[in-house]
Amino acid sequence: MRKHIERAIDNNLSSLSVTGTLHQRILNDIQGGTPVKKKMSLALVIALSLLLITAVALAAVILGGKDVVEQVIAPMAVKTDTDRFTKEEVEEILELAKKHGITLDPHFESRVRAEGSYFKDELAMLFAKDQLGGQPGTWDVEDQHWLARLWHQMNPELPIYAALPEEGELSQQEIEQAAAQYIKQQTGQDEDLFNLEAYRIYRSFRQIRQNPYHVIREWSVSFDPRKPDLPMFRLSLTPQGEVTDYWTDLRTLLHGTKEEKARLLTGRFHNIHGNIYGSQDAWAQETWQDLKDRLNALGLQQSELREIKYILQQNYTPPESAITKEEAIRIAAQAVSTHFKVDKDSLLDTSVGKFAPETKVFAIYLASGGQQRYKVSFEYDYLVEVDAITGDVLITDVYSPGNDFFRRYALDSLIPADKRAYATPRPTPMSDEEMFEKAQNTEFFPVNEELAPAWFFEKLQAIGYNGNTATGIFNMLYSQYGDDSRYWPILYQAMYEVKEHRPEPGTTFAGLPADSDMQQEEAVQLAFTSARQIPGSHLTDADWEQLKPIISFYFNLYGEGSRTWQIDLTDFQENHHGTQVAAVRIDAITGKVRSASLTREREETPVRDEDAWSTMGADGRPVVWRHKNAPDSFWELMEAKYNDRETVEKALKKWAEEYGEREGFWPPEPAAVVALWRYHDTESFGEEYVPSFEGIPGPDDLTQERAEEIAWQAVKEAAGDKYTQADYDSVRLKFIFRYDQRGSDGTLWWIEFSDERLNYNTSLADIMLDGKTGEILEINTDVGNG
Amino acid sequence: MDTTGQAHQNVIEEWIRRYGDRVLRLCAMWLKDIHLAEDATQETFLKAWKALPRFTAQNAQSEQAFIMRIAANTCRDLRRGAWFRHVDRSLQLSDLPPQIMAVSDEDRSIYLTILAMPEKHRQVILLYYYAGLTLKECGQALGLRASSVHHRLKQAEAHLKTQLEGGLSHA
Repeated sequence: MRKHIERAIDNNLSSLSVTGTLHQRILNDIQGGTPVKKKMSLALVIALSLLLITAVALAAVILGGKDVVEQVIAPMAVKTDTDRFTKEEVEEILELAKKHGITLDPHFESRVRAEGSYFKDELAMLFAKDQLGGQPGTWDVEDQHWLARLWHQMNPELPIYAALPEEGELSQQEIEQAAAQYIKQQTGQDEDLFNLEAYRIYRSFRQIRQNPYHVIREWSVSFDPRKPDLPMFRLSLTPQGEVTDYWTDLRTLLHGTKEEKARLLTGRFHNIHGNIYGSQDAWAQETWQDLKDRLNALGLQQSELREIKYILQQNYTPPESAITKEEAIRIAAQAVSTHFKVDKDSLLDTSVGKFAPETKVFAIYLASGGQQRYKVSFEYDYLVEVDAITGDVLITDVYSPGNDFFRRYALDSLIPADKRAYATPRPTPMSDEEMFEKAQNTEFFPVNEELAPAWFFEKLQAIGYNGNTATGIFNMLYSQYGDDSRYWPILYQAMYEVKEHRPEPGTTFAGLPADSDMQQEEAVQLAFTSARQIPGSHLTDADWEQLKPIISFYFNLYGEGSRTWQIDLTDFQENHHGTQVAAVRIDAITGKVRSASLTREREETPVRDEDAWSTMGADGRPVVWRHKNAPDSFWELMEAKYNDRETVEKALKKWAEEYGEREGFWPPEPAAVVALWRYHDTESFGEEYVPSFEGIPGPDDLTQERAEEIAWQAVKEAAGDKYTQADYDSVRLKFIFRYDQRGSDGTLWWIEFSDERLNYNTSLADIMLDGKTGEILEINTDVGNG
Repeated sequence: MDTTGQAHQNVIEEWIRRYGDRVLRLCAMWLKDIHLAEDATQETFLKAWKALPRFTAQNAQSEQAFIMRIAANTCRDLRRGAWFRHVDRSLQLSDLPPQIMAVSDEDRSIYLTILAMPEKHRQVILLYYYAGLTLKECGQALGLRASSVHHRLKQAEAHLKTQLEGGLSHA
């Protein structure tokens, strides 16, 4: 089903893709919306200085990057209340480190120097990486926690993102062994997981606030292969080692389609050969060719993915007669310099690039359809194609993030013209000072009395939200209430909605009560009182007492000018996400309850689950009762035996005990009753709804036993050697007898070969037989028709 | 922009390239409004950028789940926001974007059936089958237990099958 749905959506919405304009909008958002870090308060600076001066006094030996961070950077960081070091401080740190034999990578060092000042936490990260490795996810959790704690000390707004296991919780080594053991159980073989040439291990241990009532502690372990033909494994585990989530691409690696394998392979190359985030800029020419050869070996001729399509169309190995890449870069630099009046040396100076050295100037040999070219780009500003044989310059163009991403990696002749076009002008980058200024001066909640009364905006303004305080405010909300805004205090819900959603006048949006309105505490009390009076609840006093209120406040919910409390009473006992039990809306102006209802999203509920029943008519039976799509004999039976809900509820309970909870395996009569009483949601589909009924075979219809015989024979014939005996041994059949015009007398059998190994959610095959003659109407033997 | 900021921007550019179209289409199906879907996509990547320091997982699958969950939350937030409560957002056929590829009748039927589904069913179908989230991740995105998601998914599949196989033949 997955493939059908993906294909249907992608094909129908094929014209809907991220345009250059949208791409640029996002980048503008990012560039313009950088939350500038807050300055520390003086009192805090003094307190931290005292704390860290002790450490400095005790410091005796600096052996590596960690010592530089702990003994030099951190104490120096808290001496001043800015979030950056001055140029002089940076020099001092670099000199001190150098005295102890510790130097940064020359590229990073030149960048740190060139920028003149550097964020304190980022300089700390550079030195930490120098000792511990470039990818913090591969560090031991003690080291991850160490840096997180230091960062928090340097800037208390930064949360301590990495936790440490406590007593009674498994250690990093134990958790990785538990993960490996689980993988072995799942795959049935020993993977070479701890061979560092085969796998890179990422781990993290987090403490995450889900909402005000629950914090979870969770391990993540990821075994990332360093060779393209090895599987990847990713697990989440509880602190005690129970696996809560497991993912691997082993199945795709072994049994995927050519396209799936091609995508997997390409992704694998990104992971193995790219920098930490998989950019192709760092790939060697041989890497491109290797990927191309491996894609060819899959036998893939074409791909829906443009990236793979281009790779399949191009070659990457320059012939002996080609000029060198260095020569091509030199020619390209000359062309850009002449054409755009840019200093040639600055184009080629990789020491001060914003990116890693190999990405400052990106060049790749590409050949396709007789064209042999070097594609050269300088940062993300200019792009040149040079004939690889003659050295002629063929294309000289500007290039920015607004352009098509693939222009760096494919010949222009392969890229559609509209994608080649220079899409949107590159925004003028703002200096940090300008950004800081802008962030401070932007007025975030100007009074707009068409939208809401002036007092509303005054309350929002009093929060003091601006680009400089945003990080602190959001970190506070995340750490105290979690990242789901429903749990935030209503003042911040309103702030978030006005800022993020820009509501229009007259529409419903998160607001605030006026001083004369019913206030929150009283509204919550009233909500509990009202909910407890709703008839039909089976909750005990103890049940009610442990419910927590999730509080919202809306403007205009009941017409323009209305102000309404919404209190959702929620059960957090049985799961961390909470289950809504009751919802109460109160008119904040009059203090009267507008509505109070019981709601349930969980199974085994003491309150009736509305979802579990068909839409009912006025007579208490499903509104599809006596519909012409089922024969009279069916309705006579239903009226005689299953005419009211109470009878059906008792029958369902009895059948669940007799046949198990999986309704799919119940015999025809119980299955027909379930389908009739539980699955006709006519309200949702309105007048378009055309009901289809599961039925009961009559004396002249094909028996279930005979249908089963035919189905087995037909499926085995159709599947050929696709399935093994072990596959067939895992099958349990689901039978549906249905009133359907595709059958000769309006009935058919639909039989699914569901797979026990996949919890019966996937089937090996399904078949549709004429309900009378047993003729095969449809047969499908592809895995996955769940 | 500082070094880390630039590195993060590079990541987001890479993600837009890899997942942008799918996020946009997911949002369009969820919100039934192409302009809102663009806003939601913009918002999704902005949130992803802000959340990057908290994201360290390294494989493509987890990246996708990370992005899709943010997209789902953004759509959910948008639906909770102003316009959705009182405005009829049903999508007319004439509003649909023209297709670049020829679309089979079957693809068209599936697409229209999903669009016509009740919201709670459409959401689980989109998240599970289109966004590629696990039941647990769907639950986290929707604020439901995995078993509840499974229950809804089965109901949604039953509706889909009824409409596509049995129901349509009676029409």
